[in-house]
Amino acid sequence: MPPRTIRQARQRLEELADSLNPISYKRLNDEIKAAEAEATRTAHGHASTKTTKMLTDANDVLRRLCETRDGFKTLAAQGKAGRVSSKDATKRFNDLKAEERRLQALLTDVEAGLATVQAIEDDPVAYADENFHDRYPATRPDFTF
Amino acid sequence: MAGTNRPTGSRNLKSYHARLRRLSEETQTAAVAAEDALATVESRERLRVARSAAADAELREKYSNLRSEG
Repeated sequence: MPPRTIRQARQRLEELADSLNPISYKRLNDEIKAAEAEATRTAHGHASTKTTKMLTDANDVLRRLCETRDGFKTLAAQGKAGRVSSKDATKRFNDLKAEERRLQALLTDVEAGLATVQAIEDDPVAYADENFHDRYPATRPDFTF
Repeated sequence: MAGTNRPTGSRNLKSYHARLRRLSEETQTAAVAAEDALATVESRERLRVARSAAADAELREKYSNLRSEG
């Protein structure tokens, strides 16, 4: 049998449905359900690993954003009070802006990661099909039909 | 199978993301204030340099006048 993704197997079962007796239909449907359960476990594991890494990264971004915000506030206060030279203020401002740009890029990464985790949680089977079974045929479930 | 045993990963991430967004906005606001302050510092410094140059020029003129009188 050609290895199928879960989506393809579901489609094939629907095509065969009229020619199958209820017992055979149930047996094949159970195969698909088992594959879906396995795909869900794998996808949730993937989401969990990704979430753990992203929470660590997000914590770092959060800390650095606080430092950058506070750095800008301190610079603004010192600038208004005349307690900083133009040269020093310009350097500090440029450094803070550079850090702010880096943090914006990291924030975009967090947003992309969040979208991925949401996609997994919304439909783990579709995620497994698209990201594992479609790309790597060797990972496709072992259906008997 | 979709939606079964839904993990809490995205809920945690969403909450973090909301905090990051808020902080990012606060940082942008603080950056604008810092930029204004920087402009004030630069303007103050230009003024100080200009005043100092004017004072130097005045002194030079007085000195020059004194020399020509003396």
